[in-house]
Amino acid sequence: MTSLGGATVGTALAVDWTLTALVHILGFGLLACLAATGVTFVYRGYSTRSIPTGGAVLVGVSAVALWLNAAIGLDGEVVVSETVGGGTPLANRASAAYLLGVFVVSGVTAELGRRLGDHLGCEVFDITTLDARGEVATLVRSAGLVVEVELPETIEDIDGYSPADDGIKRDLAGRTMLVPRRLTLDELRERLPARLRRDFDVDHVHLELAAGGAVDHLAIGVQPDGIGPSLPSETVAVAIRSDPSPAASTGDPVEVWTDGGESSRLVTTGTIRATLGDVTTVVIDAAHADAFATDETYRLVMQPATPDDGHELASVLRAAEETVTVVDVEPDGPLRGEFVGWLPGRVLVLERGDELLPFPGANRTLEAGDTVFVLGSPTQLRQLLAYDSEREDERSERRGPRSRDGGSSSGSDVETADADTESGFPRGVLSKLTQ
Amino acid sequence: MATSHGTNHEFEALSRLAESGQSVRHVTVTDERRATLARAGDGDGGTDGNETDATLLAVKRREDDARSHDWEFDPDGDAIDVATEAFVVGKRTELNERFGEPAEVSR
Repeated sequence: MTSLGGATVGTALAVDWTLTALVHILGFGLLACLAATGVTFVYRGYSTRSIPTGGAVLVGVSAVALWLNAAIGLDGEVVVSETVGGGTPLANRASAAYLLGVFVVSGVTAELGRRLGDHLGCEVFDITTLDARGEVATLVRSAGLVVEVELPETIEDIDGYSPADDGIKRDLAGRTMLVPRRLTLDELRERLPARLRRDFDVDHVHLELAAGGAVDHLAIGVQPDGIGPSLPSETVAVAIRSDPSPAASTGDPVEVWTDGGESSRLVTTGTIRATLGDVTTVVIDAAHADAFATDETYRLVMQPATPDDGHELASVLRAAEETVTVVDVEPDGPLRGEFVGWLPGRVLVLERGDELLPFPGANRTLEAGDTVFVLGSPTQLRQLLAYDSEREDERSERRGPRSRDGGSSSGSDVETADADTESGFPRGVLSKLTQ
Repeated sequence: MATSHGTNHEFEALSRLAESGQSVRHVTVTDERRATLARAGDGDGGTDGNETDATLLAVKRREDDARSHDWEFDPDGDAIDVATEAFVVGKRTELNERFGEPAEVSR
């Protein structure tokens, strides 16, 4: 009998425990709900935006976790209620079920709390959520205040910049943008890229508009990170421990010597890229990269040669929209036989075999096998890549503003150029003449 | 050690320029330099005598100009009238002759 009585008491106790645990779980749920409601409400008030779901739920569940942590305390027992059998050990099925229950319920109620708080926040702070496709947007559109501009399905990369994330491109592809009405094409050309840059976290936007305002071509790119993309080809950047030379700044040429007293020898020469404490990053020729030892200290000696502002120009160029592209002149390509002055953009260097021609004259003819480095805006460089020598009208249009360049300085240039337009010589003949 | 990579042709082009004996100079535009700089801007490769010429590659406009915040590349000679800073590319000796030794140039 006693054993039976004990069992009854035990069962009663278990039922009692379960009931109390359930009530506690509900209580904790309420706590999570309140915490989530509060944080969502405050977030709405401050930012006018809705809090991310994860954030609100995390705050709610965290409040519960903190409470539980305090309740479990140092003795490692889960106390459901002092009156019902005291604490149960942490590693126990009943405790596990209890804790699991607490967190599942808290998670759900926190989400409910978030919705509640969001709603309350909107009411109290008088915030109206606007859906770009919703009723209000339709109303604004039907009043003729905005027009839709549809972005193309394929978003391309801009040559010379790091490609943007695929996610951004997917986001943009085929997207409908709403822009104010009565924008001229030029305004749209300025405004749309500015919006894309601001809203989609890209650094460079290049778009071409058709006459009706539709977007024909859209290319985006981001600013390259790190030192790698900024190194000229066949060079490496090496961080070396050295005597800091106080007068040295970025771009200064230096000699690197081993720090061996009498036996000091020249390791290589390079240019300084950055200095931090006693560590200097030096850009050197890739062939000399192996000459450095890891635990060696080096001495930097300034070369007497005058420093160059090329690095400064490079960083300015890097930040600007304009960039440099490289084109090879193919034997049967459209660029062969063209004048340098006809290319869109500015030719910086013409590489012909082993010869380098800096800033070639406008009347120089491109030959097969030439490599041309051209500086220009994305639009110009795109024109260059799609260069087609048959498009006479476009060329004369392009050359229109160019005539101001040649006007005062160079008679010969103007003559050749004019002879071409006025005499109506076939192209081939003229390039043969100049060659 | 960082190796060079990527599709950045700016640095490649600049190092090619350096190889061919050209030097870049960042100059502050002053009234007496303006004429020299304007000539460099106009010299859009008239003849092939560029090896001795200096070329105006970029200008930064005055604060009160509407487009002051950006560098303007490959500008025409007129742009120098409203410019405060400029990048000129040319032979070092040529640059020294026209704009003085680098020490005099504000850096």
